[in-house]
Amino acid sequence: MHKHLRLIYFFVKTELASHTQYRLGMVTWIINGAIAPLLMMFIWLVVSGNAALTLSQSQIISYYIITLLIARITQCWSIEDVGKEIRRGNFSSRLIKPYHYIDEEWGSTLGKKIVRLIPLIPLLSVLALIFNRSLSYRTDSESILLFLLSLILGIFVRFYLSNLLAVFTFWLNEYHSLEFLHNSFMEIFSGHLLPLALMPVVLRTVAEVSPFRFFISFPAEIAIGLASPEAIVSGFGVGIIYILGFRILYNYLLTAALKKFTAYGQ
Amino acid sequence: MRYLRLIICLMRYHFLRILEFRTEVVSWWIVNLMWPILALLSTNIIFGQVNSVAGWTKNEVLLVVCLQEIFIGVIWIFAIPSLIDFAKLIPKGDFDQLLLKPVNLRFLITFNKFEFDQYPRIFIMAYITSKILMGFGVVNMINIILGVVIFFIGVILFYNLYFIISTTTFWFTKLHNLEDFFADIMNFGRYPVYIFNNGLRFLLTYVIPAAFMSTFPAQAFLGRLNILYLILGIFVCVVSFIFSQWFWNFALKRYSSASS
Repeated sequence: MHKHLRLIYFFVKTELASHTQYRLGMVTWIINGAIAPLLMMFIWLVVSGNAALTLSQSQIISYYIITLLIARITQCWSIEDVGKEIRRGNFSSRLIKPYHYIDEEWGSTLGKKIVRLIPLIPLLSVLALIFNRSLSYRTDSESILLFLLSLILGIFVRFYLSNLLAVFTFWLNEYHSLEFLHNSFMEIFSGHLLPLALMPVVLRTVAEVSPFRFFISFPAEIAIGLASPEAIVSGFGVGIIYILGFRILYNYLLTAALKKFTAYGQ
Repeated sequence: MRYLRLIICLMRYHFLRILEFRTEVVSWWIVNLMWPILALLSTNIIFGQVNSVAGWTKNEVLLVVCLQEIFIGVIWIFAIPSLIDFAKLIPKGDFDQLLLKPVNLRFLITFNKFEFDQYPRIFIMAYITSKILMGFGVVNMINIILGVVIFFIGVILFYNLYFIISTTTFWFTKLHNLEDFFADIMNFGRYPVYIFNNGLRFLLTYVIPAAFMSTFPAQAFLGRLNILYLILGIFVCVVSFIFSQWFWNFALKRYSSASS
């Protein structure tokens, strides 16, 4: 365990050093992934002026602003990173290293999250200033603890799902379509663009049992007090089952893939 | 004529290149349809709650959404792939090779790459747009022509904007995630700019010209566009092109290669 943590820490530092070579270029990350949710926030605020929604205007604003933070924290790039390496034949160099490549992926992912959180601070600060009076989050210690735990749950669920999908590149020889399909389902079912509470019943039912919910919606609902205690407990239970299931499936498929894997030119 | 032949040659080269990976192209065609489906789905969900948003009915908003999707498809044919490729050349040190070519450099950077993934998206959304327009009644050819002109004014405006942003690579050296940055900016045009307050509406009309992307073309198709916006659009097109060219020359004079 200690060895894994040291490896992960090393790769976090490597990733930070790599990304901060060109610090000015990080300016593009200020709005990365933020425009679409904020646009939807404006739309729903206009709609709420004409219709009785299940969320108040304060909850809508609080929801969309916290999702900007949650989306950055749970984001994962493994489908592209690992898929690209498999596709280009570079993956073999990962296999001969004296550690499992998943440790490197953990370090790389955590490093990228840290780098992308820094440019988000100015945007969140501006939004907090503008919507100061409308923000309402649960600030008791219990809710904060549950929120942090749900973020960790979301990080793990997304990480293992992304790495599981990346393994399919061994058979498909292609990762872009996997990534796009993942992102498409995520946009619908994670609550990134539409809060689950505002979805039609059918979509909401599917979203509530899907793993994508843990990427954004589950932590956001805890933060703004939408989730009941029963929903929180069942949510954590389902999330842990997803983590274990994805990890078991990932181990099985990776073993099967490596049995038939060949690479050229490296 | 020479440059037109070059464009055709480059398009043919990239088309032949993608024919080598036919399965990948077809999978991209399918995948690129997911985003318009998402946009139409979320619009339908919104209009499950209300009959209008900021005075725009469901079909009018769907028209804006479809035009935005067509816009994304069109600008992804050459502008964005070429500019993203250009932004990658400078940190790699490969930009110097382009400087030596006997072709206008801006032309080469703009038409360097063509993507053919977006054609199904464009055709399907154009079909849906035509169905929506026919649902509004008699189609006026003058309005159609006006809408198409305003639409391509938007394409040129966004091309100039993206070109200016890509030119900053000379100073920033590496612009992270440029592809997502361009896509984020285009999200502004997903819904009519009239849902925003006056300040944001001004920003999205005169600074980031998202209104020219889909709102103004939609208004033109519906015969509701103030002709002043057409004149404004042409004026801003010319001014932005001149400014982008000046900025490009300014940046080139200060460029020093890291390696050749």
